[in-house]
Amino acid sequence: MTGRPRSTRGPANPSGSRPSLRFRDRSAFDGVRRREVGALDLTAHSVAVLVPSLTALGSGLAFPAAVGPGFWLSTLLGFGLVALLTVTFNQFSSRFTSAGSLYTFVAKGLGTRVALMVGGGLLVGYSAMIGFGLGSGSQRAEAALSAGGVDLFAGTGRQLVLLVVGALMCLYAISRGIYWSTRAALVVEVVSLVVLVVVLVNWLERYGWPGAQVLSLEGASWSRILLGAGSIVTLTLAFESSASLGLETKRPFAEVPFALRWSLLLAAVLFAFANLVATMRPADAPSVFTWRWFAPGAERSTTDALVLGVLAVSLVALALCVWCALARLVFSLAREGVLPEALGRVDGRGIPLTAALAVTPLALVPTMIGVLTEDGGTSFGWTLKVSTAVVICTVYALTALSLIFFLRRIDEVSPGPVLAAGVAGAGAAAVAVNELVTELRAGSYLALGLVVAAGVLGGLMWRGALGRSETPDRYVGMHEEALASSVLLPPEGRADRHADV
Amino acid sequence: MPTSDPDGFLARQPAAVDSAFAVLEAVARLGPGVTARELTEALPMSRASVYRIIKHLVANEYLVRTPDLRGFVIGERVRALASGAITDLVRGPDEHSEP
Repeated sequence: MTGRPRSTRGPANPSGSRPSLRFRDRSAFDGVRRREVGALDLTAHSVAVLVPSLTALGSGLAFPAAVGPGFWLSTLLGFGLVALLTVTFNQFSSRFTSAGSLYTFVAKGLGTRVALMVGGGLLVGYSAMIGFGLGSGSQRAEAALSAGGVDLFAGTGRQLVLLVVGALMCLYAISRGIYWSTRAALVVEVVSLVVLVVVLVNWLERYGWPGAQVLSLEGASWSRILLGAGSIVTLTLAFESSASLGLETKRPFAEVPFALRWSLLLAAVLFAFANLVATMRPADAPSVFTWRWFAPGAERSTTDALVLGVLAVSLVALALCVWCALARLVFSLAREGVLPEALGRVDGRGIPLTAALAVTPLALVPTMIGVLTEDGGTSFGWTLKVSTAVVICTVYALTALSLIFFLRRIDEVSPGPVLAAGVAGAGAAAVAVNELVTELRAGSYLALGLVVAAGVLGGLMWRGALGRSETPDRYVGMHEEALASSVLLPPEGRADRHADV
Repeated sequence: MPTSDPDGFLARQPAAVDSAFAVLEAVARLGPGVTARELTEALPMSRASVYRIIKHLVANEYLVRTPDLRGFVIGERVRALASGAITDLVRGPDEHSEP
């Protein structure tokens, strides 16, 4: 599967000695179709995971009332923290490409054991995010049908059917290849952002433009501002998943950082815009979570049904993009020998379809059970997402910590990235602890269960990793190494100055 | 002080281009596997500038990281640049002219 290392001498990763010149003849990820995705499509992937239309039309509009005075500071702090996480992840993604994204990053800094725990966290976290996309998508689709007056087979049964339809749409897109999947996400996001802007402009016309007084900090509560900032971090979970498409990206070292940076900026601007628009809304207006943006309080509304329909498709796009990322994570672990070899296969078109199919039960079963057992207005998809924040924020904190060790190992430490990683890691850890404590106090053990599941999966993979030999060809945290054919090397024997001794 | 040739071409080069070429030349001079620290020691630039230029050259495949990510090697794109020029020299200028 992997190529024989060529050239000079010594191990692939001798810390403290001269860099190794053992370039491979073939990639460890041989078979994957390369240079499929451009900057725009990759950004669309990241935007789809952030679902700015959903967050702006829900939490974004409710945020000023929930946080009170100083809501804008909360938005700034929350997105500022995610921006620092972006800086941290981009330090890795601008240096190497991998299909495993964060667990590969952690492997480079904190070693195999922590990396596999992070891998377990990502398996659980990404599966839950797919569940959130499909579950909440089916809920919005069900609500769209109800708002549009389509009452045929209304209820849980119809929502389950819609959920399965969403999953089948994802699998179809995945089977067409990553270019098709990301292009589908791009189209969905363009439509969804147009709808978002139409709703916000409609609100501005209806309620008027906000004045400078909405930025006043009089009566602001710091605890509410900080809690609000934490909740924003939970709205951006898995935004880094586009890094797992690095192998298939045209210019990964430039385009992955670009996608992370610009998708976050877009989501932040739209969220802040929604915040400002919402400040002019009358205090006695119906809750934004009644999902009637055009006809508040109305039972039926065709325009709101259309908005809900677009949001439903946006959520399916979120599930699709995270599903693509999860498939590549599983594929990467399989190529490293941690998971069964069959999961590391690609089909004739270079798609890791086996891995994508293998994760289907992980993504679907908990959500289907959740939909069947959920109580009236509460959404299992949303509960799952909030609980997942504990797992994913822990993963973020470990990745941030890992950066410091990684930069030290490659002797490229500089103050900016280290400071960003320190603040981002501490912030992510604080969000994880806060969410966990809040859930436990409320008597919910879902987040704790997900953390335990992530730990068990990581432990099982660690045991699996112990059972196989680690060689320069195959190790935990493999990245896409440059091939011997893509570098200029002097003839063998003349590379003495930097050869391993 | 900028100077110009008879065709009016401004000979002043943007500093970033000079710096990028300086880094490329340093990698070629110091040999494959040279590290970022060795480059900062060899070049009259700040560490941040060297890191930024390296990142840009790697993103554009003029430089490639060694498998352990610590060192740098001249990338295929430089060879493509050179081989393109050599091919043109071998073909000669006549082959470029319209029939």
